[in-house]
Amino acid sequence: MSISKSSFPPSKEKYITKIKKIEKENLLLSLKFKQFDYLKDENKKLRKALKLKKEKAIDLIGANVLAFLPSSWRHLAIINKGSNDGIEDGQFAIDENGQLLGKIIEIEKTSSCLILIDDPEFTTSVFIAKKAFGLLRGNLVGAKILYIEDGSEIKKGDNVWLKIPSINLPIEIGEIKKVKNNQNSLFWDIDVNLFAKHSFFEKIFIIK
Amino acid sequence: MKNLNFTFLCFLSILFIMDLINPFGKTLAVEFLFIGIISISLLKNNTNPIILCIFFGFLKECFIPQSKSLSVIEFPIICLIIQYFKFRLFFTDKKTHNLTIKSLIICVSLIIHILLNSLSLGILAPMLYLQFFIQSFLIAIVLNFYFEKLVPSCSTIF
Repeated sequence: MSISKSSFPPSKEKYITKIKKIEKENLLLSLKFKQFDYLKDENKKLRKALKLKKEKAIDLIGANVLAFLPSSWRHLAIINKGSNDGIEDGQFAIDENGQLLGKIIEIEKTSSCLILIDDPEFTTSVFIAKKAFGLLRGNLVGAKILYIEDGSEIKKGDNVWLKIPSINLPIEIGEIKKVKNNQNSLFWDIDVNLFAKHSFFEKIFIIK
Repeated sequence: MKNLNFTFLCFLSILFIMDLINPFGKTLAVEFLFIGIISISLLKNNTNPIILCIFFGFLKECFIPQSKSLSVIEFPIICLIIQYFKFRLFFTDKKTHNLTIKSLIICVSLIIHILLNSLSLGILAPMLYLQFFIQSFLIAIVLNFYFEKLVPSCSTIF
C-alpha cells in the first residue's frame, strides 16, 4: 500500500474541516440528548396523570400551554384545547399530581383561556380541612380565603381543598399559611400556601 | 430611518414573544415588552416610538379577556414622559452622569407602571412589587447597554 505525497501528512485545512464536522455532530447529538430528556420528562408526567385518572376514576383531558399572558399582574394562560375537544366554561385544571392549577374562563373552538389559581380574579369556594368553608381568591403571590366568620378552629397547616360536584372527589389546593383575627372586619384574615408552585409548566389536565 | 424602525419592531417583537412564552416562570417577575418600551424611548434618533408603543400596547391588550385597555394608554404616556425628561435633563443638566439620569428615568417609569397596575387591580403585593422593580431595573440597564452597542447610531441622548 502506498501513501501519496499529496495526502500524507494531512493538511491543516483537512484537520480544520474534520474538527468542524465533529463539532457539528456533537452539537446535533447534544440537541438530540436534550430532546430525549424532554420526552422522558413528559412521559413521566403523562404516566403520573394516567395513574391519577385510574386511581380516582376521573375523566381528564390533557392540554398544552400555548402562551402565557404577557403581564406580571394577571396570571392567565392560553391552552390548545377548545370546545371541539369538549372543554367547557368553568372546568378545573390540575397538574399531574392532582393539584389545582386553575379554571377555564373563555373558550374558542380550538383554544381556551385558563385563569391560574393565584390570579387576582380567580375565585372558587373551598373547604378548610373539615372545619369551615369560604371563598378562595388569588392575590398574585398566593391566595386568601374570604368570608370566614369564625376561624378559631382553623390552624396553620390545615388542608385547603375543593370538591367538584361532577366527580365528587376532593382536589388539593394548598395549606393554611396564616390565620389572623381582624379586629376591624367581620371576617378573619386567612392566607393560603398553594401546593402548585410551578415556576414553569406546559402540560395541564382538565377535569371533565 | 426605515431600517432603524424595523430594528425596533423586531426588538420589541422578540421581547413580546419572551413575555408570551414566559420561559423563567415565576422566578422572574418582569415584563420584557415594557422594558423594551423604556429602552426604545430612551434612545435618540428615534422619531416615532409612540406609534410602536400604541401598536404593542394594543397587541398586549388583545390577550387579556375583558381588557380595560390599560397598555394602549399607558405605553404612549410612559414614552412621552421619558421623552420629556430626556430632553429637559439634556438641556438643563449636561454634567449629570449619563447612567444616573438613565437610572432615574427607568425608576420613575417602573414606579408609574407598578402604581397603575396595582390601582387597576385593587391588590397590594409589596413583595411582588419589590421583585418586579429590582429585576426590571437591572434588566433594563443591561438591555439598554447592549442595545446601544448593537445600534451605535441610536446611543442615548445624554
